[in-house]
Amino acid sequence: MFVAMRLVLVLLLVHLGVAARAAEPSTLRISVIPTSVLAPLYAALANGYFKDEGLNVELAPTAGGAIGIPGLVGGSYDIAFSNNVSALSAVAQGIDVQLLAPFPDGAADETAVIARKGEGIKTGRDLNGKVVAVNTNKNVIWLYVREWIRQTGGDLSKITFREVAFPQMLDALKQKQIDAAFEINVFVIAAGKDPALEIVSFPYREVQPQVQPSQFVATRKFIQGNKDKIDRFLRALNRGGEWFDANIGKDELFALVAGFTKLPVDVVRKMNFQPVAKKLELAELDKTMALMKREGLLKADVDTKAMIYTP
Amino acid sequence: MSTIGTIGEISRTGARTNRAAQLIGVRLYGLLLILVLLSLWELSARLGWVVSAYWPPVTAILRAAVGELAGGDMLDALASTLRRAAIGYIVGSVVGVVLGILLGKSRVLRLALLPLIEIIRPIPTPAVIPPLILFLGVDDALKIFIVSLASFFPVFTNTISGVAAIDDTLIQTARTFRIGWLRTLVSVVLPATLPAVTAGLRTATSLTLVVAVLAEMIAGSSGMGYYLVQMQYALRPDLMYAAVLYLAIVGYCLNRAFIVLEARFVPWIGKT
Repeated sequence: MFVAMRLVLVLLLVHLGVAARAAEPSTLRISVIPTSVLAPLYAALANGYFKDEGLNVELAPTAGGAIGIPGLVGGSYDIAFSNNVSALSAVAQGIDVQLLAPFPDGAADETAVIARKGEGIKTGRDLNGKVVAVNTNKNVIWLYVREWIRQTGGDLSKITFREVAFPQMLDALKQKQIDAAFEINVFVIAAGKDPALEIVSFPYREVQPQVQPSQFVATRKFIQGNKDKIDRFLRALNRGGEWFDANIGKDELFALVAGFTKLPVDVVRKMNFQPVAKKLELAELDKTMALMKREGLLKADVDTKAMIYTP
Repeated sequence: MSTIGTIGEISRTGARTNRAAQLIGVRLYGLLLILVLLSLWELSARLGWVVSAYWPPVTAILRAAVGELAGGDMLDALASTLRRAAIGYIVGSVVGVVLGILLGKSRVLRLALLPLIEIIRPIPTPAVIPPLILFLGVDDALKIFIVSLASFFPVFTNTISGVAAIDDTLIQTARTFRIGWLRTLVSVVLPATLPAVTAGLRTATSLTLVVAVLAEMIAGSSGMGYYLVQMQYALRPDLMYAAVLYLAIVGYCLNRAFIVLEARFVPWIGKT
């Protein structure tokens, strides 16, 4: 009886999992975070470019990027939205992922260190003895704010890094639980309007102006078994990128971004949209790898050239 | 109708009225406290006592909550969470009751399975979500499994304790009358363990919604957990708190429904 019960439970769970994951031959399941940099993807979807390529793209929005690569490995997704640090860490740990396509430039101008106004925090040196908030320790935001602090005279051994979710950072700052925060675009715009706060620096721009922090990734195994599907996906995405570039500053783009991010249109209008990067830059990935090695996130070099997918 | 009968009735009616008045009085104090706290919240947001983008006035939250009734994503999210929570609750509870009875009755099974169950039991639910993603993916299977796991333990531990506490005379009497194991199970063991099972089910009921929302917050692409996080990032605290309000209402209703069902089907609970 016990064995039968277990069998029923396993079958039920397997059925639920398989039913949800079963994919048609032309279906691609993509893990995304509803953030403005994904506008080219949503444009391709809204304009039917994936359909034109015979693809049925299913988006699986998630609240955070942490499950992207585990979701790829577990087979929940075919393609995931991730970042360069997570991808390099994955490859170093033997998870063979490749970067497929870059996103619009602009991270350098939209991601900023915020501090309380009038407290004289202008450089890394001013943060000695202070608390700096990052969304996740030992990931991309943490890596670049540490490098900016180092380059601007800060002593990392005297600075505490505290994990705070992006939506809570500004409140934590105003309540003096932290002294600075490395924030993303929506909250940088909110901080810009807040008289108690000020934008101190754009660490990406200062550390590595052409950095490509976000990419689509997939496992090499999936790419090799589905090369035609991946190439069709990239062609459609490229058309989405062209639509995006042509509509920067226009109402159509604002409406699209407001639709999938659920942000108020007036906030979207203040975003600094930049054209889509033409290709993945090996040199930029190498710079990120060098920073990771310095911080101890990587013990040895990773074959970055092999990480970039070429159709 | 006799005079004595009439006086008795009047006396009983008077007692009932007094009890009702007392109950309303007690409830009124509770309601009053909630109203005072909500008024303070409203004032703190309107007068700037609390300065935060995530501290909207209560009236804005209520407006958002009512607005969602006319059509929005929130009710779909709620339905999705409730569906997962219900399936997980049923699976976890059924397995909990069955295993609780089997292990309660079988020493061999107890020795074989109890150590494993006791090792898994104290692991916090959020801690098992990341490794489970690798095995179950991030879809319904993961969330339903997490809810089942959370529902299983209180039901299982209460059931096994209930079985252990059955008066041996009852079992021996069934044996004396040569009653088969299935009939003994249905007519003796189950009714005797029902109060313990019900206590476990009640604990599981309160956990179910919490765990479903938590799983959706960590690895969700739909449901109230995902909706809450999405609204945080979309700078919509009014909708975020409205979602919390709906969850509170649903949680309260589930608890009340359980009490009603408990009184209907296991009326002897708490009366011994």
